[in-house]
Amino acid sequence: MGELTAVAMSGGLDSSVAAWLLSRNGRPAVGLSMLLWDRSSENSHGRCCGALDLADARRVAGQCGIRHYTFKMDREFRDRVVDPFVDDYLAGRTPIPCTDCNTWIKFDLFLERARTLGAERMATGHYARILEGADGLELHTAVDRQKDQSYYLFELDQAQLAAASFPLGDKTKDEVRELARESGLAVAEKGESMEICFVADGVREFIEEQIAERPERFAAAAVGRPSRVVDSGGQLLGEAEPYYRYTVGQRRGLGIAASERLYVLEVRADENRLTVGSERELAARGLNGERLHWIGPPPADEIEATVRIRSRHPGVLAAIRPPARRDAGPGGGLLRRHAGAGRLLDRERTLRPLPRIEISTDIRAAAELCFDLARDLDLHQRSMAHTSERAVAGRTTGLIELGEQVTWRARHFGIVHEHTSRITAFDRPRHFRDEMTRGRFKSFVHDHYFDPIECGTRMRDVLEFASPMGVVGRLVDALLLDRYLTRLLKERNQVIRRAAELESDPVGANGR
Amino acid sequence: MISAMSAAYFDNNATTQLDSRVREAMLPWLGERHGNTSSVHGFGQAASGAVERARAGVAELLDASPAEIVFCGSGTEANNAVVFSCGRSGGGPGHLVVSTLEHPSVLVAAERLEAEGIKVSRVAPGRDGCVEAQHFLDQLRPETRLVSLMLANNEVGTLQPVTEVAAGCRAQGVPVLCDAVQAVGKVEVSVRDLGVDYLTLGGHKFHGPLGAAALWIRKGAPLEPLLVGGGHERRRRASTVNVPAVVGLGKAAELAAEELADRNRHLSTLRDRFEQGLAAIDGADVHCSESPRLPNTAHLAIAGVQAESLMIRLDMAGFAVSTGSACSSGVVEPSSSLLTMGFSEEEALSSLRVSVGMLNTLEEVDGLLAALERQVAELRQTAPAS
Repeated sequence: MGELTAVAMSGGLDSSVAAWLLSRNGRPAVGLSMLLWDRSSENSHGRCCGALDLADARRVAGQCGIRHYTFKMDREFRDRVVDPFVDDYLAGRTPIPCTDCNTWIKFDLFLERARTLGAERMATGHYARILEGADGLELHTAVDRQKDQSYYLFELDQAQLAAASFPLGDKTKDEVRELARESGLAVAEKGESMEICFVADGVREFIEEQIAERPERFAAAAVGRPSRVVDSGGQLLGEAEPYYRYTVGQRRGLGIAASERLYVLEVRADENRLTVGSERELAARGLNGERLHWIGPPPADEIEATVRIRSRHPGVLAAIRPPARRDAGPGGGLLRRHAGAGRLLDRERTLRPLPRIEISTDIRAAAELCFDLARDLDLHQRSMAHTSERAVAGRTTGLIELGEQVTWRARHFGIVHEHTSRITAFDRPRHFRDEMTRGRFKSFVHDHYFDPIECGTRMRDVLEFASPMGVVGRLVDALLLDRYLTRLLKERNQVIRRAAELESDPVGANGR
Repeated sequence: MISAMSAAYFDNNATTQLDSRVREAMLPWLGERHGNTSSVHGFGQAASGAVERARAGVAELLDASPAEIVFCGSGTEANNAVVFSCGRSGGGPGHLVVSTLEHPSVLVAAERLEAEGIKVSRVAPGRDGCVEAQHFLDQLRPETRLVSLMLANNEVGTLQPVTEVAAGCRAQGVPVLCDAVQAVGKVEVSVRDLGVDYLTLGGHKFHGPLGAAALWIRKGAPLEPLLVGGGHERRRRASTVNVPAVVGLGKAAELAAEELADRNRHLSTLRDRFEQGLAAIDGADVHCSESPRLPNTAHLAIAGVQAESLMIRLDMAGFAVSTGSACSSGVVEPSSSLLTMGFSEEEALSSLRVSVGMLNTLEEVDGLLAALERQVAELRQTAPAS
């Protein structure tokens, strides 16, 4: 029957659209769901794994013309996701169960079940992208930065990525919802599920319920006992709720009067103690990581990278130092395949988002034309004549395509730069992305969006970059760079606008 | 693209396809004819006449008299009605005896009564899928209000010693419920021979429509209705009568009574052909093959093969079979019948049910065997026996 692809269906909007897209491409597909947390007696509408969600998944599969099956995996889910989640809270840590679920359930046991059905690949509704790089597969952020879920997939390995497929990675949430509406999917108007799927009320309540249900599994001496709150000097400030109800960085719910806002700096499970302090004290210069996992080959030495410490964190520049050869890293054990330790040093004093430039240019021309002009290397060279920018390697002329590279050489701030970009997303005429693969910047991602408007196209440029390394980085201050890039971009956009309007309406209202 | 419909349907213990002759009988009542059986006027009288004819058809199939038949919505409803009615009758301590093979509509109803303070004794079968009559009778107490034993098990298809159990119970004045939902239409069922007090059946298990079932109540046996609020069905089940479905049930019963011997032969020919064909598959083992069984049911394990994956592969290949008992969410659980028969969970999870119906053909059976052989081989390749 050809290569069968399984699509993981939760009954939500995203995985439903993923299934729809998959079923449209004409290759055999099958929808699979998991019953992870059977609380069928409780009202769990609108939550992952609820009986009604599974019914939605089944209904959508029917609309897609594919079969749908549900696997009961509640025991595995409890062992590998829920219990470690409770354990982490009881140890004073804040877990990310979605990552555990992706690593150990979805792209492991569930994938294995799919394989027994003859499926080679597992598609999901994740917003992330898998691209082929020089050293194997790479996990990339989604085109829709607001919805990006790549963070939750960080622990996947090469084999898992090879079997995974994310059809929504190059779509925006709006496009996904529009697709659902256009195709009349039953879940088109369904809301977002942002919470942890198995936690019905609050995390605190959940933890305490679990302990109460199975006291033999969770040895928690301090359940229900108030914690001691101290400042960073060890001075006792008062009492708060039990320690496992707090997470580092939390501000609310401390109930301690102080002249400035207090944040949780540290949670000590063994002493049922919280250390609190000011926002300044909260900022860290680095962290020691556990379970270090490299999707590609591990680097031999320290590397520079943009580091995110949670999904919604914009990222900071940091150096990652590989673990000193400590054999038994923390967090070892049966399930921790990629045990290890690493040290991460933050180069900034505080966690600061990456600089971002966004410019909109309205053009009286069709989106296709604007899209093509924006990827026209010849036009770009004309628009950048004042910096003597020219294409010197890769594709050097014509329209650049998905996966192609171009190396530009130009003079900025009196210094000759080479900047190599690759087209890493391409959805004509809506969007394409170029991403620096080599150059002076630490990172440089340029998204080009083309949204239809009443009288033509709104071209939207979204540029996210991390300051250049080396000599320019020291010479040029971030603000200056920001202004400089904005000006370059605006000049270039005017060239594109003029070319587009000239071509689509040579004698029109513009009057020339 | 996977086709939306299976090519061949081998899950007739779950439900069966409507017989075209039954559909013909129902169609007028889904079209030009209508009426409420309680109405005094001509429309009501016509509807009432059609329903009474159906009642006679069902009575004949069961060797019963029409006045003993109560139409209801499902086998579950009928079983619930009897368990609750008998379980809650009388004062003082109460007691029930049920087999662990019973359908959840009996078992869960009994659990409810247990929560109300009534004692429940449960009798398990052996690995042969049959309970022993004497074990059952040993459980009787002076305060026993009901004994429940199904005639044919829905999963493995084994027939139970209902006649012996009923005889023993009658001697002690204990009423007996016989859930005959799987048996009726496939084997001969005579309420007189069985000697029970209550018997339930469902039309869709023998090519009748969904939503029509019958409860036979021995003349003189009490029933406190489950549904109240109307005098329908001789005050034993309030609800406007579902005329088209009941007409269909009546027709299905008439046809089953006429054709029973032929049906029995057709079903057992197909089932036996299937079971003989299993010899070509390594490690295939038919459960309860030495026990008295329904002619249409084959329950088998294939060593080292997970039945859930096999069932899904067969479905994608166009053959509908079943595993264990599927709950409402469509998730596979190990067969509760096998577990209560003393099979391990692992054995239960590698078990598959193939139940043939009147519309199956020998060619389909051969097709199923070929698909089974191919899918088992592929499964053994992708997932080496664990």
